[in-house]
Formats: sequence, structure tokens, C-alpha cells
Amino acid sequence: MTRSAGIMQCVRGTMAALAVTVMACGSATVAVAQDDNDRLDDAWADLVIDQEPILSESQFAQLNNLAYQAAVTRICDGYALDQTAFSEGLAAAMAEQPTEADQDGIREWEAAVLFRIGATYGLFLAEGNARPDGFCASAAALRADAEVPNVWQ
Amino acid sequence: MALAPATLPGAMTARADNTGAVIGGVIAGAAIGAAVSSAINHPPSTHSKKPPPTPSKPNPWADAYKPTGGIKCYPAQQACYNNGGAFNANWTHKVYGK
Repeated sequence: MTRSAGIMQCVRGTMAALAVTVMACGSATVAVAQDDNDRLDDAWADLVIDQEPILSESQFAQLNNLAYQAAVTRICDGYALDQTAFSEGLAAAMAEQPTEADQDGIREWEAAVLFRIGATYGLFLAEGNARPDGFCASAAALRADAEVPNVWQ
Repeated sequence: MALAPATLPGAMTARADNTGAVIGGVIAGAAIGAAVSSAINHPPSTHSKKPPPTPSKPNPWADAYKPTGGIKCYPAQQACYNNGGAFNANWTHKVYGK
């Protein structure tokens, strides 16, 4: 099994488990989404504020987009993940690892990253299920933009 | 079975002698009554301090900004959203993902 395939397998389990938890939280926080957009502000704050800087800004953004696209496949018709592209995207987002960590430290870091993408996936599931029209319109805009990579088939 | 005999005397004692419990109840009732009476007879102080207000949480999204019309980005989340709408992966990639 390649490293990216192993990561993908781990992500599936992590994301599924975390999504259940976060969906439960997310459904309770739908009411607190502020008027400026569909974002679940308080839930996101709980996730990202005081987050240790385990990744760079770019890496966090890549995880956001991967988690969003995974959530789209659950909510919007006509989308399916390209498993290979997703694995490669995740491997790319995790390519820059902590330089001073030993093997145990790297494993902890990988677990933290997988936890983060799983929680992010759950939040996007909550946002998308709360307001699917805008969520799926945004997915269509992503698929139509040739300058921005996506991991759908 | 070995434990049963050891527990029986205590149980018997408790059933046979509840005088202490009755007296304790009376004393407790008297103390509560005195405390209530004391509270009624003392008017509330006009100089009572109000509890300090709970400090408001800082706004975690205070640094949100708009890179272009219709889009709002949140540096703490490394994410952009459509104004009045959903997550915008295109702008998230353009602003943070490169």
C-alpha cells in the first residue's frame, strides 16, 4: 500500500467518525450562523481559534478545499471523488512536515492533520445540509474554474 | 455469606435507635428557621455591589476582509465565503492556497 493510499484509508475512517460528531454539533449551531453568509461562525471558531500552527496557511487552505469537495459529493448531485486525485491532493497538503520531529512526532502530527480535515469535513457537511442551494452552486463554480484544481471525477 | 453477619448489627442499631436522627432534624429545622427569620428581619443592603460584567469574548473574525466585491475571507480559517452565501473554494485557493 502506498503512503498516500494508506493516508486515504485512514482519512476515510477518521472523517466518518468525526463527521458524525461534528454533524451533531453543527446541527445545533445552524441557528448561530451570522447573516453575512452561511458560515457556522461559532463552530468554526471552536475548531480554528487557538489551533496550533501544525500547518502553513496554504496547507490549511488546501485541507479546507479537500474537505469541502468531499462534503460536496455527499450533498450535491453529480459529484464523485476521484480517489487518486484526493489522495494526491492530501499528500501534497501534507508534504511539508515538521522538520525537527522524530518518528513518533511525525505520527502525532499526521494524526492531528487527519483530525483537522475530518472536523472540517463535518463542518462543511453541516453548512451544506443547512443551505444546499448555495453550497452546491459554489461547487459548480469551482468545477467551472479551470484555474483552480479539483478532486472530482 | 461471610459479610452478612457483619452488616446486620449496624442495620439493627440504625432501626432501633433513630432518636439521634429525629433530634438532628429538629435542630436542622431550627437553624434553617433562624436563618430565614434573620434574612426577613434584615432589609437588603442598598450598597450591595453588582456582580462584575462578564468580559465579552474578542471577535475571532475581526480581521476578515474582502479581496473583491461579494467575497469575504477569514484569515483565521484560511477560507473565503460568498457574501450572503456558501464557502467559496475558488477564492480560498486564490487567496490562501497557493
